[in-house]
Amino acid sequence: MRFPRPWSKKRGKRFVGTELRSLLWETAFFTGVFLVGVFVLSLVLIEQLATWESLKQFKDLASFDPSGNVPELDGGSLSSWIFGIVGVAAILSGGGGLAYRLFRVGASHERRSALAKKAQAIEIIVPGTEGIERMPSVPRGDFLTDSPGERLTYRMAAEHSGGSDLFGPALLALLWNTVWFVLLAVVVLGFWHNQPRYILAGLLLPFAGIGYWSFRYFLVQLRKSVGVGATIVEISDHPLYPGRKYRLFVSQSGKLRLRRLRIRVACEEETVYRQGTDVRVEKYEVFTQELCHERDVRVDPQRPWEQQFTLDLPSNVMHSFVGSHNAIRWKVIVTGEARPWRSFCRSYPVVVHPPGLPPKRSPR
Amino acid sequence: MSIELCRESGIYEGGCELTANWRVSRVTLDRVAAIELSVLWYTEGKGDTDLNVHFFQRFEQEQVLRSGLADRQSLHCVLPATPLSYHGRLIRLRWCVRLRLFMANGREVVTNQPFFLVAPQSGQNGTAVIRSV
Repeated sequence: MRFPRPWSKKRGKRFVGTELRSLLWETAFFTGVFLVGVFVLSLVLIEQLATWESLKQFKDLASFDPSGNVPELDGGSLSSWIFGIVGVAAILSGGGGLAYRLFRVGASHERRSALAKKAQAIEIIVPGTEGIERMPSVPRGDFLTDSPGERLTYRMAAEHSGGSDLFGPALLALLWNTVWFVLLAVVVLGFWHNQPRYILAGLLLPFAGIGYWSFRYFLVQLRKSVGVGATIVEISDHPLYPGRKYRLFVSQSGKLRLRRLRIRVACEEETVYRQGTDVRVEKYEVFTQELCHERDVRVDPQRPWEQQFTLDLPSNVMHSFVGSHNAIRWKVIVTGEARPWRSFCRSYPVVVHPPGLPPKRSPR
Repeated sequence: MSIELCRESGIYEGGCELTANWRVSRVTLDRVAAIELSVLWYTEGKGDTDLNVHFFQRFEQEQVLRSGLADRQSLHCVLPATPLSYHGRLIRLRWCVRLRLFMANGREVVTNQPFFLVAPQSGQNGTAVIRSV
């Protein structure tokens, strides 16, 4: 085993960590910074507010007598202010860094760039209804074509990004561990002021177990979300028209072995209905065209799995439709049975227009 | 009440004009409170119904008295390009001309004349989308 020696010049093969490892370390680092900030700020606040001696001076101030001695207001020593500011800074930088890092999970660079650009250029003017009037009840799908592709014209956006699955575990881990560190600060200060809180100190152990479990669960979820790697789907033209042919490019990155990889284009009916007080959603696939079905696919970080297909859309298929309770949706579905990660299924919505209409010309 | 479409087949391409003749018979004028005429699409199937009116016209009692009921009336409208008629597994999308008669005693009488909206030029080459594949 070779130990790193930072004082010597690096020679030979350099170690480059994987993106997953860097993400896990960054997440752990920002969480640590956030929790340390919580701990420090708790120490300062409890030290300043929880001891009644400091509040007693406010009581004396209320019965202020000009002839008597002026009570001194202890607004906090310099060290308290410094630690307080450091604590707040650590909470803000840790929380901000964590949120920023997690929002980037599951989104491609181009998509993030497009989102940032869109946020910068939010228009106050409402977009025209020309397209809506031209084809009522057909989704416009403008957001599907705001990202250019590398190989083909457009890069499709996934229906659900992996980041949304992480919100719950991240919130649980952060909140629980925040509370734990506040309680730790209370216990530490109790011992410091010779007023030990044994029951609370005893409770800290099982609480630490729950905190450890919640943080570990969050990291496992994060690893699962990121470990599979990004799936990139690009298409030669959009929207689609029945009876025409399109090129489709699919790339799967990550480090995994896939037992099975399926890529298909599907049309799904979706209805929403009320049953008693419940609202139910039912889906049915009315059309599917399989583009790829491969077994034992190996994907390396240096060499992602890439392939190009031809999508031949039949001429007698229904166009995309969205009503208040019913919808007909078209999507490209990439399904993989992965090892050691969990199986994944990623959908990329596309819009199919009815045939016979002049296609919208794309600037690309 | 009767509604007659200008095409016997009842198949219309998106964007083309629809003409329908309608008539209310065997009802005296003083018993009619109002008449509503609409061209609309609606969904049927497992889900809750979606309905969208493309063309709507209401005749109040004075207008009905002025024009009378004995003569045939006609409606003209340009149909939209979508949504096309569709017969799927969970969803069926239907187009119709609907005539609703409001009687003076509070009763309502409704009649529908369904038609199919298909994609332009798909009627000729046999690729009209009416059933799911």
